[in-house]
Amino acid sequence: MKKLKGILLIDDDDTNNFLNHRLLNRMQITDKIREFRNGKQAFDYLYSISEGHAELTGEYFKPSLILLDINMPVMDGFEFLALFEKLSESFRKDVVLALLTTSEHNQDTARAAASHITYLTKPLTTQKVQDLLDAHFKDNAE
Amino acid sequence: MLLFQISSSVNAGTPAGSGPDGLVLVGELFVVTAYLLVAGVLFYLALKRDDRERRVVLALFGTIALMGGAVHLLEFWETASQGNFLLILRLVFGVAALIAAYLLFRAIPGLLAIPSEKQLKRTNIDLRAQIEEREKAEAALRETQQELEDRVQKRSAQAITANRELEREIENRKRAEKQLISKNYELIKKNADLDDFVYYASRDLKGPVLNVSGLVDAIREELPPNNPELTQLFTRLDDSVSSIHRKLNNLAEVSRIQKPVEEVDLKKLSFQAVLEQVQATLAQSIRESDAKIQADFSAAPEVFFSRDNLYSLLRNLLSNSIKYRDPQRTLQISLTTRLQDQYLVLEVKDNGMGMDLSQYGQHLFSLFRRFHDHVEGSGVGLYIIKRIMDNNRGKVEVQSVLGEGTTFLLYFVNHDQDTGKRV
Repeated sequence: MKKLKGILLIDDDDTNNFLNHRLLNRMQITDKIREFRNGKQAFDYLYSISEGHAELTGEYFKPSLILLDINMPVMDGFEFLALFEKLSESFRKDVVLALLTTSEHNQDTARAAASHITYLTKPLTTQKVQDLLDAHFKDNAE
Repeated sequence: MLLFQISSSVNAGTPAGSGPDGLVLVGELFVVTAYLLVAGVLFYLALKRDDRERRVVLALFGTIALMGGAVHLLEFWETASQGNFLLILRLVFGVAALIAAYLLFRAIPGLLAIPSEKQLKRTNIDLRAQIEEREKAEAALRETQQELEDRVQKRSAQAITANRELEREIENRKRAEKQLISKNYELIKKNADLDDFVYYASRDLKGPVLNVSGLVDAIREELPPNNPELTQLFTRLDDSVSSIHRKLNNLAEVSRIQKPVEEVDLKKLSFQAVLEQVQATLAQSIRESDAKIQADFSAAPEVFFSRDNLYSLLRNLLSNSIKYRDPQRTLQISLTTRLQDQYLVLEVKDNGMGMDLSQYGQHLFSLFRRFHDHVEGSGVGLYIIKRIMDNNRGKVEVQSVLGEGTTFLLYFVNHDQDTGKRV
């Protein structure tokens, strides 16, 4: 399997980001992983890339997978989703989004289902990552 | 004047003081005078009477007397002058008297109809007596009326008092009801706050717990393997973390079932289908405990309920039976349904350890109360069952004999009969 272009981890929980970062590193599915503490930071980052303000070198890369927590300060997962939908179609079309959360609240699952977004419950495991890759990145296989 | 004329004519016609002729004349004169006086009296009376019948009669008598007098008066002329004329006059007077007599005769029935004074008196007395009686009756009536009025007044006074008391009572009850409603509202709000608290606490604690378990795994991976000391420590760490995790999940479930079920979540559910789901979830523990599960839902195969809730009920009941089975005998669980009054009853009976309800009964459904320590449990299952049934206007009953088994009876509101809105 070809490595992914990059992964964004959006979660206000540092330890969780750390553990997920470690898991993904050990699975060796990408060389580029960035962590964000809330939706706003992640969106600003994506916006500058989509508008061509940032050079795609070093720290800046366009991710092919975003793992998004729901409950975060400043801007939560659903607010981030609403803004993300407004980015250009061409930018969004090869980016996969997945909600990653402890929430089992019916309301949250229903909203996720309505947005056709993959919904993963914590903790993230190699199995869950593998399933996600199989579902969305089959054509990456060489 | 008449008398003067008569006396003058008599004086003129007859020489005074002359023998027996003179005496006859004097006698005649008296008779005429008497007749005329009587006639005058009668006419006078006729004039004065105010009832027509008697006036006529008196007038007729007067006429007869007048005519009689007139005839006698003519005697004087008869002697003095000859006379066909006088004879005719006599005849006329006679006829007039006769007519009067005839009219008098005709008036007899009318006169008879006139009551006599005696009669009148009697009638009067009778009438007076009647009047008296009536007055008495009236007085009696008035008295009765007064009494009645008094009674009515008294009664209305009583009624008014009673009414006022009732109004006061109603006022009191309304006030009490208002207080109850506001208390109830407060309780509902507090309950909701508590539910929210439990929900958010369990959710927010979940993240750190997951982190700890992830970190433990990471540490395990970083450390050199094959260290028995470390292995034992990690096993205990894993147990502790999973225990915290399980308790948090229970809390989350408690807060979830506390939330009222939405109308749209209610569906006709097949007991058999949900039971099969539960059996699939509990497959491992059913296999390990070698439980024999028998189900007969033929009497009432379906219930109008929330799928999550029915699933939760059956799962908790079955896992309860499995947990508290008697190790001396094979566990038998039987599930049946039936219709009873306005309820659909689900009976879940096992031959497990049973319990002493007189000792534990009142705390059986309390949150986090546990009565056995030989098996893993959280003290949440029965509480969840009770809450679900309460939230759906149903109830739970338990029958149990120590050493023989336990039967749970779940009473669902039968929506086939009761289509009323849920509260």
